[in-house]
Amino acid sequence: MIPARAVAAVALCAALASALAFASQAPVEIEPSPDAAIRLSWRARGHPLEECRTPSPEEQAKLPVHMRQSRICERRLAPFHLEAALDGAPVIDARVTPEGARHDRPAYVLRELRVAPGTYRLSVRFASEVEDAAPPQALDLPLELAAREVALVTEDPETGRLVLRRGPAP
Amino acid sequence: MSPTLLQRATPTTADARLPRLRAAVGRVLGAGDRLHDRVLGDAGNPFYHSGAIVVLAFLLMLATGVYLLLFYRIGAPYESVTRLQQQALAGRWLRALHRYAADVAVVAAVVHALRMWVQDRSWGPRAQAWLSGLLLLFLLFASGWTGYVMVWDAQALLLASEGARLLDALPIFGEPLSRAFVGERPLPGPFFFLNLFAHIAIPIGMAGLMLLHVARLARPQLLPPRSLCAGLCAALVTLSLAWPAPLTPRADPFVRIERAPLDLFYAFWLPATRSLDRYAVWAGFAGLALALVSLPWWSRPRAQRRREPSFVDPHLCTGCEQCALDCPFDAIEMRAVEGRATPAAHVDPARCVSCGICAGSCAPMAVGPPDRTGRDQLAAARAYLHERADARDDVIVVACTHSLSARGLPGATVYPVTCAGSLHSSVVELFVRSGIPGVLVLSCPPRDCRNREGPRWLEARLYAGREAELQERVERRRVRVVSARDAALVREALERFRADLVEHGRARAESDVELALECERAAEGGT
Repeated sequence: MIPARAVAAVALCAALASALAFASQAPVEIEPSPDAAIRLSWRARGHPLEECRTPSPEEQAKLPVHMRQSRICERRLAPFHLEAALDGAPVIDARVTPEGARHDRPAYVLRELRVAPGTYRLSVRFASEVEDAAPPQALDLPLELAAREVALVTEDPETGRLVLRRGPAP
Repeated sequence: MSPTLLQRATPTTADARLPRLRAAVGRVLGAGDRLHDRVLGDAGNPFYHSGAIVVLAFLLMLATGVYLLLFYRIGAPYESVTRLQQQALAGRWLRALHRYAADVAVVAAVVHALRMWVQDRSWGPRAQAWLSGLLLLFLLFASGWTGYVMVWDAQALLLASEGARLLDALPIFGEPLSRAFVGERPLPGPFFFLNLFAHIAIPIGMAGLMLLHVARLARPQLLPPRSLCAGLCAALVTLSLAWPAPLTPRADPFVRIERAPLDLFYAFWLPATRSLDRYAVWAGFAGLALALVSLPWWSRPRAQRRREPSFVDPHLCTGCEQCALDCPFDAIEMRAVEGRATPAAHVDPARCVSCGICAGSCAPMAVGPPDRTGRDQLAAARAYLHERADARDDVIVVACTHSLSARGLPGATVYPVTCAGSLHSSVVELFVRSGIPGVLVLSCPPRDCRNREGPRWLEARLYAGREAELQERVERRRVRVVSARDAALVREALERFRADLVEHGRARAESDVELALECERAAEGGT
């Protein structure tokens, strides 16, 4: 190999390798805004609801003998109502329905609110739509958020109450 | 049959659908080929060995992965990778080498797939290789995804949470996976165990799938030439030492990441998908997958332009087995025939890609695709000589149409053939004996032959006496093989051949004169 060609070969290899290394660790802007975030994430099992009825004789007649029931019951879990407010201004007002095609699975809350860094009063209320179910869960506290900080509202597995979790102080 | 008719009977890439897209991709790849050919030579051109480079990268990942596995801890993933990163002697650069090898695998696999499509090698009997190749590429991405999550740094959290967000759109999991990555509780050990298991199990599955990928090839070349292997390994090791892989801060769900160094070969989709609705992302992925899977079918040549598989004339077949030995796709087998002592060749049309290599390998001209058997080639060459009496004054360039068109060699007499490897040596002999001063056979670079082994068998037949060989009576100095695609290199080789022929002619004339003088002297002495 003549020297000029060897130099060209080395230069080409170096260029390709550099391109490979650059693309392998290219600095990419993921979240350009300095906003902070409040995440709400927990799981809740709703109050069981059962609606039963007595099938009509015509309905019974259509069914095979071994499938006839004196009462037909549909079971599901009650939905919840989620409210969240920042400094008194509502930011979430939503119904949280239990999962599953028959709504008989637990309900999950997974929301994220983007907010500017600063101090807020955060209020969260999560209650079953059934009045005689468990008492509503609520959280009301002041919150100071730094740029890019994420605060998490979740359920404490021991007390079953909503709590605020934050990362280690920067 | 004239060469024009011969070409018409054998479709080229131009006959396929999507000619513009194919031509555009072909131009980009061709520019890369020419650059690498000039600088590294065709033996060192990585583009020609893209498939084999994936295997080499895979082996590099395996070797480095074993070392990394020794230090990886499921219970403390980030800490164990940090410790590896602190090992200046081995861990740091081996981790970088593992990563760069994975990146090279993606680049080489994509280049390989594009080449196969542009060269019309993705449908018919090659569909199995195309589909298994796509699946291998998908598994490579999946394995890479698990590898990056293993580190559990900022990039890992991004990949994991975005992957979970997309998976949550599918009605598969009873509970949203995304909740695992929001910081409700520390990630459980089984998550990292399953991830590590997948990172090892997927490549094992890929090795098995690789066998299916090359199942229809005879003598698959799984590794690049030694020089290229050594060069690539040396380049990657140097790169790993000079430019170690980064380790971003530990994954922290309580911080929104502003910037992160992403491996774009594996996480190229991440910046785009994060801002999109997850159903739209799935629709995009599904559309892309469907397009890639079906691409060969809707871009292949129309039915009437497809090549027909080879056939065997049992009356001419001597049962020598050479065609079965030479077939690059294992499409020919020898079968016993009732009433004759020797077996006869049998072509499996489901495996035959109609490359015509068998036509060049059959001395008695018994096998080959319709219109391209040795007999058809001889007839076409005779017709050409009859039509082009002026062609006998200069070197004739017998050029593979995939290598270089006549436009690339202005002023030269070009006789196109569909593959230099399918050229029957009798055609070369006919040209030489017809008075043409020299025959330059132009083939594709050996590792970039669309029919895999054309240049290899051509050289063996012309120079090494392989069956269906060029007869000894043909003067070898008047026959030369050039394997190149770059027009400038071919023109240079053609000029050199012409000069050598002139020199050879002059030397021969001088020796003739000397011989005549000697004879005269001998005659005078005798009298």
